Amino acid sequence: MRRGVTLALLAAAAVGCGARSAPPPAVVASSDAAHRRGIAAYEIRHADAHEVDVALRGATPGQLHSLARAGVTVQELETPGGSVTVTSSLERVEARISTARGVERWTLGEKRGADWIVPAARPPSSTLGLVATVFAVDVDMAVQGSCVVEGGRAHVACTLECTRAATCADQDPSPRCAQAMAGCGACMDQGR
Amino acid sequence: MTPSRRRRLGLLAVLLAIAVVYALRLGEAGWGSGPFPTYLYDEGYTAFHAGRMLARDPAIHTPNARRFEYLERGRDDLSPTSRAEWSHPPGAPLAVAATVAAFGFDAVGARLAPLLAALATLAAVGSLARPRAAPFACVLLAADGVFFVFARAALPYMFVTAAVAVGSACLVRALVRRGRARAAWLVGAGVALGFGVAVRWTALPVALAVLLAVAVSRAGRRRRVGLSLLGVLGVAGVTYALTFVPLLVAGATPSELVALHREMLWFHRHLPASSGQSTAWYTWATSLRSTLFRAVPRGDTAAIVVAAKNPLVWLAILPSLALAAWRARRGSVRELLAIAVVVSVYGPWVILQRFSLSYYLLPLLPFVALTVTSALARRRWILQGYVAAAIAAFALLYPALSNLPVSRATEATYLAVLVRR
Repeated sequence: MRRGVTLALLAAAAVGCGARSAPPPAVVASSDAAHRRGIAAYEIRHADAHEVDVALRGATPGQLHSLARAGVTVQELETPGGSVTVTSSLERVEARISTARGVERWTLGEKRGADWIVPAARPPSSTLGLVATVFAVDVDMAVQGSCVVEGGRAHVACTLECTRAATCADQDPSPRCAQAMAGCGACMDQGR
Repeated sequence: MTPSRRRRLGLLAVLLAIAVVYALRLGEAGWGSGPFPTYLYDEGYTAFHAGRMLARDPAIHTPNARRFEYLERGRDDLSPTSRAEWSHPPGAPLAVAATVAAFGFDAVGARLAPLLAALATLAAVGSLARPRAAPFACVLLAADGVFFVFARAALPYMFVTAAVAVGSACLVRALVRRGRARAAWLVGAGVALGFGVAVRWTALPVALAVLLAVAVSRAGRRRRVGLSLLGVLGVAGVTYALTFVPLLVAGATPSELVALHREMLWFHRHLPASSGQSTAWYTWATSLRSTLFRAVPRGDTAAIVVAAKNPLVWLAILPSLALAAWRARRGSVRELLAIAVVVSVYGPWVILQRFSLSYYLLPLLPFVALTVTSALARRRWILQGYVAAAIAAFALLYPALSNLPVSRATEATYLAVLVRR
């Protein structure tokens, strides 16, 4: 955005501004939250209003598949260090991890009335690290800025909530963190 | 020099003085140089959108675009909360893009557009006012903190305000002209009102009310302007449609534009009833509670920007409505316009079930200033005293309006009085 562009160029510039959603770019550089988790860039394989399929490039290679429908968002992250599935709604956030002993489910937060409750039992730190990575990727995959999400059930500052969730998921088991994870999950649903 | 020429020169001098005061420190509360820009309040939507419009970013017309879609065009202008204004028609970003194109993508370049809109509003007020009251009406309006802050922030509401005031002034001019001159003023009115609707849909009832007021006024009935006003509506519709031309030229189909409108409508119908600093509509004209745009502590000092209401303007809204209603009984177009604008700006917010902020009343403030100064014009010393009191209130508010460094104690006082009520 250089200085000194003449007003006459405005119309010409505006010509290119109206195109509807372009095909997702093949490779996109990540922003800070994902960078801190070892993800340098994304290869977007598929992105529509409800579903994202993205390969992660960098020190933490892997793949995230996210599907958001009817108020529930399911996100599966696969990395060489392990895999996790995070399921979230505006009322509940849980993580599921497959181990040699079988499948373990952990509730990360649950809404009771107007308040969020965080169970005392917490998953191992390795699982929480993967959960945090999911939300770190979500910062860039979720709706940018503030938006009405969940078919109008919530108005969320999506980038801020996902950034908070990526930071607090493995460090701060607070009710506010659970709320941020739920809000971020809702922000993966791009459509109404 | 004739008295009327002297009055015009006097009004011009007043407008120039206001322009100088308004332009001072325009770039204060700038966007910073941190990891991401710190826009002033919702500049993260309007100014961001304008910049991306010039950068030809297709994401700006994509409802609910994901962050990676914006990152493709860089991150220097992308704050955590900024996104394109796809939920509104593109009038405001288009206007800001014009000054950004000419002066660059920074706080000053983006804010020149609303500053020019504010000056156009004041010129329209000068035109609508009775000659002896015109400078006082302009000064009274300029002394309002909300008007001042919105003249210096790249946000949409000053464009709606300018559209309504300029459109009204054009209509009043058209009533006293004939032939081509009348047609030109009517076209001007249509363009202004149509552009207002292209900034915010809430300008549509205002535009209709303004046209109705002119049609039923004594002058309007005498000149039988009904058909001409339908023409104004047509011009307004064409203007609204033209703001979407960039999309059509880029290959968007009419059905996609219809779909975009459906998305906008859905968005506004699903906004929550309360959010952040929203306040109930019935408090807007009776309370001085204002909207905080920014508060930044800097050691022992702080800098704040509050869209602070001047009590001499805001507490006059309801009395001016009553006053205009009384004076309108003879069918004077100016008073009917004031009633039409006050009712049509305020009215929708009584009905709409979404969060709302008191500064949504900004477009009616010019008509409050017109009504008050018109009523006091024959009691000159009262008028002078009233406007002097408004200027004094503006001076008291100025540090809170302009990001001037103040002590933490002063900041706390401002916030307690203006924001936390």
